[in-house]
Amino acid sequence: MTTSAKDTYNILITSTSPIFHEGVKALIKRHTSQQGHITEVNNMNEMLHMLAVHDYKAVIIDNLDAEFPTLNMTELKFKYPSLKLLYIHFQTKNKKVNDRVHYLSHRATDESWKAMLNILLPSKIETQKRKSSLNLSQREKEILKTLVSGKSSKEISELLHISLHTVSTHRKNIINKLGIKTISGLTIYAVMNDIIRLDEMKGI
Amino acid sequence: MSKNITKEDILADVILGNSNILHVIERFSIPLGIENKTVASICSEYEIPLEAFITAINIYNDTSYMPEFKRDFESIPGYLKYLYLSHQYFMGEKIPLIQSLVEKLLLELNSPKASTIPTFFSKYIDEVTEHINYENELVFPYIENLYAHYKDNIPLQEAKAYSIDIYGAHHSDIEALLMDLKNILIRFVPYKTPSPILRKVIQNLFELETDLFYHTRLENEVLIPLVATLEQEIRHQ
Repeated sequence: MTTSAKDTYNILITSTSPIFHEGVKALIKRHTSQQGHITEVNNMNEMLHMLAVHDYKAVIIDNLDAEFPTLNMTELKFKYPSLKLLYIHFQTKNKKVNDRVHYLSHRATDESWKAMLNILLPSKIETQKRKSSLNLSQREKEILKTLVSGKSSKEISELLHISLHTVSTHRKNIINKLGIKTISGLTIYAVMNDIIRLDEMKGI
Repeated sequence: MSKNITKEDILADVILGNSNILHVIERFSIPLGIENKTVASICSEYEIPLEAFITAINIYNDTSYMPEFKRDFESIPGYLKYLYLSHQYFMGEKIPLIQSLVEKLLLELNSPKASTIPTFFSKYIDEVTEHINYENELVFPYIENLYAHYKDNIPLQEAKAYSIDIYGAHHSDIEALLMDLKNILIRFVPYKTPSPILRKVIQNLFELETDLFYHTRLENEVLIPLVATLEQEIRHQ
């Protein structure tokens, strides 16, 4: 397991200033209750080395520091396609360049940091997306029943006369709504909610 | 969060700061009644590799701790012994405890539909058992042999023809099962009044998950890179 199951974050902080490190760490800890790793480096080489060796979700870079000229974005973009970058700079405006590159002023408010960390960390996006109603639609219940019966996506698409893509979409919606990822887990839910009967489960 | 634990720290205070460390000392075979002894003096007294012990307690103490790579092959037996004893704890103590609680839960739920829960947990146990046996019977002996070859020139058992990178992938299915069980027990088992048994099951699942998390970190972030380095050095000889 590298990051995975516990939804831990993995952040790299780059600055020559101890105050910067302590400050950013404190902000992160204040705005998330998740577990995670923070690595601190104070030069570019070390930063590039760490990026090459470990899997990071985001890098926070001290742009106030002459030591760290704005990096060559293209290279990082190709090498680490899912890495998010946050630059802390002198200007008073916060800025978003694209989904992966952000700028925050060193005077950014607590609220700005909270919002920023929501973007940087593999946060509760899943729970935010999850519909508050846990009611599965009739179709979703049908699909769930076939899933826990051990049918493959292909078999389900043939059985219900829908495309494989549709099966896949339903499956994802079910998993998202319930927050249950394994077939075994879906089985418990299905039986307890009378979507499938115990005797129908026998022999599976 | 906290600063790193070092060899000069007083072990009793470390434990008082974080009860997880109790598991660590037990798995390094350190008995309690540790007075004001430092980490260093305890490791010396019980002949425990200092670096291995310090790495382990730091992993269990702080999730943001990132172990630095150290080429300390002499720590390998210490890590292996630790991991063996962890396995014994999971299989011999924690899982049986949860299993007996689940049986009580089933009685309390008093419904045939609820049998899906112990069935699920049995499946979980099977997966964990298989994984632990795999480590105990294949991975760890391989590492032991590798280290013995490095240290005492014991012949390599080529028949095992194995390399450490195969090993990394197994952990995530087991984690997903545990997460699902916690989620189901919290969200989808409707009670009219609080159930202490249900609460105990869930609490123990959380504790098991945390323990496994640190256990896996030790394997993935410390032992595997160390063994990969050892493999490389041996191949270049």
